[in-house]
Amino acid sequence: MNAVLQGSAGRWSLFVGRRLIGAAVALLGVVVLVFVVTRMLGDPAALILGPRATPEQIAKFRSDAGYDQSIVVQFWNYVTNLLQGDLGTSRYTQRPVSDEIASRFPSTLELAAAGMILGLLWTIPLGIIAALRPRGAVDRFSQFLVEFGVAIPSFWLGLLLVLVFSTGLGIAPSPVGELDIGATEPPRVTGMIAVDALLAGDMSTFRSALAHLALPAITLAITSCPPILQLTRNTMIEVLRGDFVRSARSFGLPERTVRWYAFKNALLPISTMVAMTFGFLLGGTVLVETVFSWPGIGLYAIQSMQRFDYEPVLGIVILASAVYILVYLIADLVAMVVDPRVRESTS
Amino acid sequence: MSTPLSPASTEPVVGAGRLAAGAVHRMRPFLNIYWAMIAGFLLIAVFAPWIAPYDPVRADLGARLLPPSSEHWFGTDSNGMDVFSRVLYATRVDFTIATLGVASGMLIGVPLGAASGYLGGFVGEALSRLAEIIQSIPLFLFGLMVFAALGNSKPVLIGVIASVNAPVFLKLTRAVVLPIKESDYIAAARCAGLTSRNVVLRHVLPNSLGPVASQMSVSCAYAIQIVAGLSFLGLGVRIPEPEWGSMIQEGASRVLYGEWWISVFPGIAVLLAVMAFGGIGRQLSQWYER
Repeated sequence: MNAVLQGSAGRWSLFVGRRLIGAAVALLGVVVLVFVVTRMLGDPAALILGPRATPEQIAKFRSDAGYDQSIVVQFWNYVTNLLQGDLGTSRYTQRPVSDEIASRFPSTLELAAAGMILGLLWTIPLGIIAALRPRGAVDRFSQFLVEFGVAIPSFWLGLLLVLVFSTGLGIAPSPVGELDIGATEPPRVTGMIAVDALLAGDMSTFRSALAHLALPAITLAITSCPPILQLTRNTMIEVLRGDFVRSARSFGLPERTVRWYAFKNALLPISTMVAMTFGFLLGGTVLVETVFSWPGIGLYAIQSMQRFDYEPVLGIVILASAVYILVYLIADLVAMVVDPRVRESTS
Repeated sequence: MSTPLSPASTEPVVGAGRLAAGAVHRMRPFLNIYWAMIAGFLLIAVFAPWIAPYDPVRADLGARLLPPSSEHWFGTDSNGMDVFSRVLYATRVDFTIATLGVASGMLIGVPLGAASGYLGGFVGEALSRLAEIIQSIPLFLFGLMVFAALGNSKPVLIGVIASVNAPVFLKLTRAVVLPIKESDYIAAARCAGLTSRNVVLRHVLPNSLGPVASQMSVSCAYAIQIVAGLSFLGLGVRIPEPEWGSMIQEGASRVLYGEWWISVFPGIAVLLAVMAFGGIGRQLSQWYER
């Protein structure tokens, strides 16, 4: 008995340990890649000082920033700074990049979460219904939606929604960010305007925040979530063909119950896909944030880029990749807890 | 029996008609809306100077922000440039950058993937890890970083597309090569004394042709979106050079005033091009999986 338990505990820690090391290696890889691209392929001094800088200015900048040291020393400094949470300083605001990102990340989180919720509301049910009758009318229609949603450029769809619902029908606010220009923000608790307004009990600000959130969230729900629909459909079709579904049916269980059992079995790959999509939304909504002037980290990256302020861009690249790797790791660990087959396959 | 054209007829149909029928039959997988759309885009790209009614970069300040009319089919933008002519000319830039980027990514990724799968061991593992690392950086942020480091130009844009596609082709080729490597006919080829290089070139790589062709088309679809998206952010192709993404950007601020045509028409072009490449990709993958 004891030996069995120990064996299982050993397998668990082996699995978790492997995944943790894998994630750490991936993150280190991203840092190395960022370093190689920006310090070894590109010349940060020339980029930051601009084309009109004199050679003396460039030389002074290089020695001030430590770029004249050996590449190994530079990398060591870079990594030790990162480990202390130091992502550099914004040249434009003179504030630490990590502070700037921290103040903007809640906006991105709010938008990504809203987009994800709307996305799940249409993709999962449609995927299940499509799987019940493959090649039926619903399936064909949902295949068209997938094809369309993947092909349509998100920024263009955002503009179309603004054109129709804001300019045309006047039922949505202009794309000026989280609230109307000049509106007072609710006291900052989470940094997510809609949540903060609700916490402050300010219903009119809450409604305004939701109205501003609607179009960008719909844009993300349409353009980022079709792969979830596709996977739900394919997995459900496969699961519904399984032996246990046939047994359940032959026992005379109601079709509703059978479908519920099937869905529970399909849930694991679907949730991994949802996690990956969410991970990408947390770092990759640059285009949609730009269209709607949404003050998240994507818009911050673009604005910094336009001001030739590069440290924030690199900080956001590293942070977004770290978030993605972390979400992927969590999805992996959850899969292991939920599904014994995953554990077995790795030992 | 009575109708000479009945399919059951065993009489040989002779002459040019038969040749044409044979050609049509062989071409059948390629006769559909997606290939027609790509052919249309290519014709537009080649013959743009003859089709376009106006010079795509000539600003006519007397004709700013005109709505679509018989003079200007797609209207004019805020510089008075003809949107229709610009949409036509933009096909050249978007298709060139997208296909060059994808082709370079393929040329880098396929040999590395074959090496990774065939050699295996540490090198193989390291290469596929590198691919995963590049893929864990959100695509547009990766683009921003490369532009930040190397400057804002079209060759850099092609490089961005190549470097996000190389990992895709690497992993794809590796996945095709890994199972083949253990197969009997490869063992036979080795016993026959072929060098590793010849085994890979003659017996391993041909198996990846189908998946690679299909992936190239899908990658072109994404590449068109990436070119348009990055240009929309002001990276890569810049105004006034006609390009779909930068045209959408040019009209974005006018959408609020109801002047929709500047952004809407180039967006339709992007959508059609992406759907066409995506459709061909799906079709090719069904075709080689048969």
